[in-house]
Amino acid sequence: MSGCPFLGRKYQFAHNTTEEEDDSQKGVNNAAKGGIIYGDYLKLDKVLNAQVLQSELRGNKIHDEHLFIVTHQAYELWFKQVLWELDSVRELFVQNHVRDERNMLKVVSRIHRITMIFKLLVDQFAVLETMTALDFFDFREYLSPASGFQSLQFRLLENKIGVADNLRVPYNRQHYRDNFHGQESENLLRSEQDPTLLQLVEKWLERTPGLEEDGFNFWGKLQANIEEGFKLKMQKLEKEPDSEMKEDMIQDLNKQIEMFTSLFDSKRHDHLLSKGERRLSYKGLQGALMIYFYREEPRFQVPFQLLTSLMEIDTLMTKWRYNHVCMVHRMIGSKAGTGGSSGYHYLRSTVSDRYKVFVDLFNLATYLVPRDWVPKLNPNIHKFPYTAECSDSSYSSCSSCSGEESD
Amino acid sequence: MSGCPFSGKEYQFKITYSTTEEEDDSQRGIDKAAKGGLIYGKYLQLDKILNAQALESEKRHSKSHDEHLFIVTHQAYELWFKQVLWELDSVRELFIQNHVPDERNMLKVVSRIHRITVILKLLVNQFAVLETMTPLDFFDFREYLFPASGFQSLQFRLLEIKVGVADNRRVPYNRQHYRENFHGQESEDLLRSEQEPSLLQLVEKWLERTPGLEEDGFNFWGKLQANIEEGFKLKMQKLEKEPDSERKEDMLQDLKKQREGFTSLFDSNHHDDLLRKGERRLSYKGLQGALMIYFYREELQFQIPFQLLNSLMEVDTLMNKWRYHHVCMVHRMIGSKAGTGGSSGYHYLRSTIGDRYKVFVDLFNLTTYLVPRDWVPKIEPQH
Repeated sequence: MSGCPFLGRKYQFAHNTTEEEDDSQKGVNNAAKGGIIYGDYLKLDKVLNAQVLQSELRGNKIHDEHLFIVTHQAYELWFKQVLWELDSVRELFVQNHVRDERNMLKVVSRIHRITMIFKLLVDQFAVLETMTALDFFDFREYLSPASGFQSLQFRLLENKIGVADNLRVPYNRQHYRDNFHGQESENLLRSEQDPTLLQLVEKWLERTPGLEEDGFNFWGKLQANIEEGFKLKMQKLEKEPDSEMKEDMIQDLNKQIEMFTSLFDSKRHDHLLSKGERRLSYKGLQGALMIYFYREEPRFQVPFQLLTSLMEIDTLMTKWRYNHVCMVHRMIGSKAGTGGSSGYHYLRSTVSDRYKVFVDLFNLATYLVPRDWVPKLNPNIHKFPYTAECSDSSYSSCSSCSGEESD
Repeated sequence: MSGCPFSGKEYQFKITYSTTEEEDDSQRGIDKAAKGGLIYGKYLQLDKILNAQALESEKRHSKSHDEHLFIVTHQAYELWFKQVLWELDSVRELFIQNHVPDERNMLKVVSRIHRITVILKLLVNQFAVLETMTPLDFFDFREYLFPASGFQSLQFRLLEIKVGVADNRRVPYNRQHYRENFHGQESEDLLRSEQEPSLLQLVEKWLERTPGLEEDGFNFWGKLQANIEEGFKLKMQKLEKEPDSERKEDMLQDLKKQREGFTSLFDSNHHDDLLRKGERRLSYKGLQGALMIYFYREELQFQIPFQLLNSLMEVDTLMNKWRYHHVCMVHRMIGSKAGTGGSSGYHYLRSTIGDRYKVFVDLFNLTTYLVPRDWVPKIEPQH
């Protein structure tokens, strides 16, 4: 007989009702009594009546255009959701609610949620990739000059995370504002002026406990330990019998010393900052490295998760751009974009570290040191205890103050 | 130095762009939208799509942040359901209009069914996004949703019906109540979908036409039955020559069981009985066509049909995975509470997992009847 477990007498639906089947099938239909229903709640009359094929309007209906439309609409729906989460996190920083560290769980959860949505959006390309270039060609002519370059939400997303205007590639920088007018243009302008996630995270990092020079003085201690560490290594190496290998190892060690020396050179940091190769302030960088090294301290565990998630956002945005570019190349080869750009070549130029907002967090891995070089925390002195500077979490009795949303 | 290829001097990007030729060309271009014409936002009717999120919790002055995610997730599901129905209806139409005898149309059929499976895969993965909501956060706004429920999703029902879910196989609560939610035009759409040929019925007719089934032609079924009987006879003879032992007895028993299984395959009354009970869904001839395609899948004319049968099973598998992911999430979110629509909630949903809603169940079960390659009737080159 077949291996199907449902084919034996046991589950034959000539109702040999087991108790479980009885209970699970009990119930009523609530909707019959009136009240909000699914379709109204989700405004499906709007959402599901928004698909109008240009090819059909021009009397040459192409089947695949529907997929093209729905895919983009799904992307824009999720962009809206990402902006919802992003704005709520920015607001927590802007309103200084993060000083009550109980709010950090919300921050980390929502940033992580953004990464989950982006993972889905990267996977979503596979659906549009079931369209062949030939089928796309059949209706592409009807789309001009509409283009993804005109997606307001995508620009808002870039700006609010912290993409720097002066780092955008030329075509992008020159033209992206042209597409938006009236209210949209105002929204765009505001997204450039309001504090970005990067700026807010930077201020938060600068406040990392342990940076205080008259306190734990993490940076000073670290520099001293690294200098001492290298000195010992060098001494040990020089005691070795002379050889070509010894010369090479000394060269390597010198290079490493040079690199760490530059880490502690604040002028060099400012120089790289002005070039756009670094984005965080010097103090912010120190805060991030502090969180990396002491991530297992209870106070830093969730902050460490946050830094990891921020890098994940950059990574996923890059993957999104890359997947997009690969698909475009397959679809239109070297043709120009419908919006007027050079198409594939333009898009390819945006897959770059220029658009990597939290680039410093990635580059900090350059400066990892052996665990015993990390300044010791004396548990009696350096507890980094959590002391709420203000009480603001939605679970406190303060949630009703200032008529706040449960946010 | 760091391992990052971008931090050496080689790739330092200065703000005064040292332009390479490539950078020049890639950055050339104009902004066409300035000259008027169709724009992205209008083309996609974003004014409708992006202004369709109204939080019930906000209306009741208790705005819950996570309700926005709840709404958007469901809207994304419904958008993709619409796309699946678009593909499904176009495939059904190809069969209904008899365009499939022109085998050039089979590429379209297979590509679109495959596209449906790619979308369903995405929809299964999409649960992970909603799973970032905690049951505690859901609890904060769930009360405002009553009595709205996914049970009222018209497109989900249309999907089930048009693929071929059998009404008499729906679990009781489902079967009794699902029509009640729809009125007017929606109710008509639902009724029409029940009356029009489903994908299953259309595929069944197509399978019945599989070349090689003709009794006065290749007579696949007759030849197969003969080969199988011969094959078992030889196996039995060989086995009986073995010296007696307990193991020989066991092996004889096994062989008899196998032969019984195959005997029932060739018993058309047995098939009709199972058909009536709903345990099989394809006609006897349709089943034969499917097995023919399995055995001769490498023949040129069966290659694409074979891909189609695989994709149809994939549709069933993914629908089942979707139901399973849904049920796991619901269990986490509401435990054993009743559903907002009035069902028993988790327990009801769990009862919908399994073979009852598996439309192309016969294609899965056909692998019960695979035989050694040399038992398969040989094809003469001219067939």
